[in-house]
Amino acid sequence: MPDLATVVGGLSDAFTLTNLFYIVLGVTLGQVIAAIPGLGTVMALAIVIPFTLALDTLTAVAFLISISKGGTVGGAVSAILLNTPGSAEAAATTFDGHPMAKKGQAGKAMKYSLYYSIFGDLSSDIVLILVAAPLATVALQMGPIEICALMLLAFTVISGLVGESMIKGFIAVGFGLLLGSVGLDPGYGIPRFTFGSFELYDGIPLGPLALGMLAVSVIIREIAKMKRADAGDSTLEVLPSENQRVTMKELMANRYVAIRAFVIGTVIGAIPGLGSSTAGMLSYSVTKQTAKDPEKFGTGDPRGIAASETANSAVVGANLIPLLTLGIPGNIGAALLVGAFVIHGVQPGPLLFEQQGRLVYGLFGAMLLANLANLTVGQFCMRLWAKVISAPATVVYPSALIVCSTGMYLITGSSAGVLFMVASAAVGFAMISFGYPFVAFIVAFILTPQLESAIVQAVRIADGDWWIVLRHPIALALLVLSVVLVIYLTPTKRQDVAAA
Amino acid sequence: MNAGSFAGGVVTLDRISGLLVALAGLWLLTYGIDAHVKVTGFESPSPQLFPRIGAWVLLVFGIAQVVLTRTATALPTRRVLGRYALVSVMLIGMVWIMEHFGFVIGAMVMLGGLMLVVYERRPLWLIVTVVAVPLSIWLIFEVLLERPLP
Repeated sequence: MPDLATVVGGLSDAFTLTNLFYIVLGVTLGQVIAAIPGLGTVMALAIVIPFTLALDTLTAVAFLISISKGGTVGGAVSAILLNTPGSAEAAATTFDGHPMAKKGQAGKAMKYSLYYSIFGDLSSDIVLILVAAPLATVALQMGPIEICALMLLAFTVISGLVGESMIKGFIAVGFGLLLGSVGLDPGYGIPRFTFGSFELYDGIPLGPLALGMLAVSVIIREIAKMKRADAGDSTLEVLPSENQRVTMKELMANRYVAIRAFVIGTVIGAIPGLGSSTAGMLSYSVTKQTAKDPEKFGTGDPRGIAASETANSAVVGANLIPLLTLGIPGNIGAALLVGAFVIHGVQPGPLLFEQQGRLVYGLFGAMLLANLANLTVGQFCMRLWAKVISAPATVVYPSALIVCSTGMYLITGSSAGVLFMVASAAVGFAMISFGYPFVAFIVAFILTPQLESAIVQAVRIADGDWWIVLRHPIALALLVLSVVLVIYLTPTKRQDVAAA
Repeated sequence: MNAGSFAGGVVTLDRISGLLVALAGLWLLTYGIDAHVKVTGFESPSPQLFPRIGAWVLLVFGIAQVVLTRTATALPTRRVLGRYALVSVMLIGMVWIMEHFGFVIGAMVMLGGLMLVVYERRPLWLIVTVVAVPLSIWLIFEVLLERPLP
């Protein structure tokens, strides 16, 4: 456990003018980009990662986490005004947010979403701060055999819970492992799949890959799908709204809904593979089912907004629990955060608290500040976002593509990077088209160095004796759990798809 | 594709993609890894171990997808595929223009082309966007942040 000086020093590190600037900028960017349907938080993260190379580690990570936090607020804007969530996590917000807007209370709905979002986010950050260090201490007791088993479990959970098929999830994992193994092997420094290129000795860089696969492929797909009739359409229809104030009494009336949603969001966020969309939907569903008057849901009931927004925002902090304690990112946003850490020479995991305790507490301080910034920016600017995102898609998508190309050039310093981005985008498009989940691929790609080191150590420890796993009860339990999950999750997926 | 396609024996896109994945895994195991990861044989564990794990995952789950698939993916339409290819080619063209004429000209040409591809025909929107976006990016990165652009 870090000492008090590390904790206080780390928290104070967040309070520099530079960090404050990037936190406010990140929150603002996150809110705007997530508000535009078709873009979203992940794309915002992928686009800005190249621009963080010049920043120091804490500033870069604080910037990225602020974008994630801003995204949870921004996604609700178009969900409420247009009935189309700007980002997937705000899908459940449309159920009551949009009906409320249709009643002429769009501003009020946006304020409900902002306040409950901040509550969920801040509460889960506090849980993260309280539990992360003790959990990391426990995680430190794990050896390479346990780490291998844990990662296998993480891959199983992610493959089983995201996408349409567990088999496709595992294929995406295999693809990620292979691409992640490009470069010098960690044991002997022998080049693998480098095709004689020294530039590939360090492996395939995450930034260009993520930018191509996560952002550019989606933007080009949206451009490709556009029809002549869509031209000039605004991405958003701004509806008139009056009587926008939300009183403390109105907020407190839904306190139990918000607390339950926070618990749901935090638990789901801590499980790799699930995410904000699941949390929002589940929380909304539970709240509706347990309500005495479920018929009021879907008609503009603030409880629906409280349930969805609190839960989907609570995921952001909780997602960092497996990331910081075990080094396992729970979703694409967290995976990109790992990428930012790695780019700056920091490896997330249980040792992070021992080796970079000050950085971790700096991150916690930045997260708390980002909540404040999120509230302030949202309070003053949500109405403005409604205007900003009414820009037509015919301007938004081409401009976003130019920004991505610029970012790519800045990362690599050469035009070859843009070509790599186009190739990555083509692979990403193929993955989307054939239904192979991105998150499984990216998580596997990012975890490959850590997993490979653990495998190398485990093989040396085992020395040919594979029964050694029986003498490691935690590893054995994790492996059994993986097998149980494969059996449990696969038929469910089949039934779901067949039923659809 | 409808639910009838789920019946065993029907060739679906998912089965085809599963077959391609399995063949990729097989190629890696029989040739690709040996050709691109040179080892002396004395390393323990071998640097080929991890790529082989990945290749086995592709082979096993590719076959599983061919045999057990219960999903039916539909490819995007030919129009969408064509337009996707067109935009990709335009991006590659932009690289060439940027290398020869600089970032601002390349980005302006690309942006104008893209806006026409998405059927934007309003002259004011076209002119303002084509001029303002590349110039703003250039001012921010090249002038303010001093990060070199092509």
